[in-house]
Amino acid sequence: MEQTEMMLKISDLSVYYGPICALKKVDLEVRKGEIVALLGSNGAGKSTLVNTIIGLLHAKRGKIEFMGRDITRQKTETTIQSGISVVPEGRGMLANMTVMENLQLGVYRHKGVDFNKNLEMIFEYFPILKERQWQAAGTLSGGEQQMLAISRAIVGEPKLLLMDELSLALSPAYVDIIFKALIKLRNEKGFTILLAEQNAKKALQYSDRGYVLDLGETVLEGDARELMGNPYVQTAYLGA
Amino acid sequence: MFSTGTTYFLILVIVYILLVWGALIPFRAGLLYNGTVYCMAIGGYVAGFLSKNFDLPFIVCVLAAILVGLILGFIPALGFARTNGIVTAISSMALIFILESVIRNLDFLGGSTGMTGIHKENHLLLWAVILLIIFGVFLYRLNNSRIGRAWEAIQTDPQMAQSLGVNTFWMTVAALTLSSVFSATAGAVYAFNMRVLYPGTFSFTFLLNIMTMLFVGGRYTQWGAIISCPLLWSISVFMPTSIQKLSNYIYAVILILILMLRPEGIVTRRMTNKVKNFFTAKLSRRRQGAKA
Ligand SMILES: Nc1ncnc2c1ncn2[C@@H]1O[C@H](COP(=O)(O)OP(=O)(O)OP(=O)(O)O)[C@@H](O)[C@H]1O
Ligand SMILES: [Mg+2]
Repeated sequence: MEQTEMMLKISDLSVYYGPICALKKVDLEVRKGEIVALLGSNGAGKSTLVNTIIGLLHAKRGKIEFMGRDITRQKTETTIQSGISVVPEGRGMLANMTVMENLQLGVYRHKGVDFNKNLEMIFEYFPILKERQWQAAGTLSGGEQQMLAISRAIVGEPKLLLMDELSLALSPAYVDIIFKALIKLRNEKGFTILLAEQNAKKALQYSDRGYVLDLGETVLEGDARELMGNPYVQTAYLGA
Repeated sequence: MFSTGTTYFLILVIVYILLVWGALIPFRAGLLYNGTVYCMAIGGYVAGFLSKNFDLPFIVCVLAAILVGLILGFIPALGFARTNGIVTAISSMALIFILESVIRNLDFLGGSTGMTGIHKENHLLLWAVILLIIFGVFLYRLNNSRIGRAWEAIQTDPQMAQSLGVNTFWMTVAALTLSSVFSATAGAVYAFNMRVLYPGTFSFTFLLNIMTMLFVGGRYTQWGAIISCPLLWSISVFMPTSIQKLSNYIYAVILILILMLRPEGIVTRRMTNKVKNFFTAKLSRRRQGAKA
């Protein structure tokens, strides 16, 4: 693989909930412009990893570097400000606020970002949001809410996008629409994306590389196509 | 312009509106804060003390009350911002009882016998209206600002707010401190209206009134208070003296009924959103029309 700039480098990361070890010596790398899938079944530790990266949880051991800077013990708002955005598990809509207010919160920490310009770009990608901009976010359909969650995460022009369980509760057709939009965003805007997914098939289909977590440990990593052909992945995650 | 009785009534309504707003701000950030009466007492006693002893003009007394209220509201806020739910509600209520016993033991504030000799302000109603408008406009703009959105995000989901970059701790402290400013101002106006203060006035009953007005009017918008305060306060003023003793019970019954029948209160978010969206949508359509 050609040497592109390192976005996220996680080394020897261990995270505990009290005595319970949720992540054990995890190593992970994401390079600029990559889409990396983070796979694993229920309770594998995907959300834990996402929440630790943005500082909602704290690592017991190990290091997280973002664009060469150590962010392991950094406050969440500083990490957000430095260019990481997250689409949290379960969409995390602020249901009583309007679509527009949700989008405005996407630039809460982002100085020097042209909100109106980015808004127009988002409305081009997801025209339905433009129509519904004055509607309460909770009244959108599940797929529309997911579009809003993504839009809110990208409106502040993040360098790295973390997505937790993007495909949750969406029909396969909708998952394709959303993944295609992401690919387009990556190609046009140069976003880097880390996708935490249970839906291994879809995730691998659209990503460059992947990691497989099991009980908090990385059990496999590699090229997305290779992983798709891997017998372990096929039996455990692709139901072959 | 108005009779003394009417003026007195209107000023008290304004005091209540300011207090309900003071209770509303922490609520927007997801906290059930019962420190409003505590900060009101502080504002009242500061204003009263300065007027009585130094004969300072009304507005100077108000500014001093705001300053002291802000400081004495900020300090406990540092603690409350780490609590939530029932813990905040109970521990902030305790502030009232602590302050009451402190005042009872301070002779320069009149102790248990109360503070008299607060000077008369002839244009108090006018001042009260001006303050109401200033605070009302300020609150409106704040609610529709970056800070207002951050508060609402905290109320809905603190962790979500945090992952959007909101510093939930300091935003909560800010909400509680701002609430203190509203309450302290209300206290200062109240002191000039009554011209005599007793430690026992700032009691649980007062808090019950404020909370009833907040929940009846609608705890998600600032407009609720403007309807509920005059309405509920006139019930307790104009009802026959024979049953005035029962006003606590009447308030409690109204509170329960409203919470069961119309949980969001009289003015709901849907109502205000409709009005707001009507105007914003119209405005943006016109802007787009101009562009095309
Ligand atoms: N707050 C918590 N307290 C204690 N244990 C927790 C907590 N949150 C998660 N865990 C545990 O940590 C492990 C990893 O959980 P995590 O949420 O990261 O899994 P996940 O891979 O995101 O799963 P899913 O696909 O179901 O979302 C699980 O065993 C879970 O029970
Ligand atoms: Mg998860």
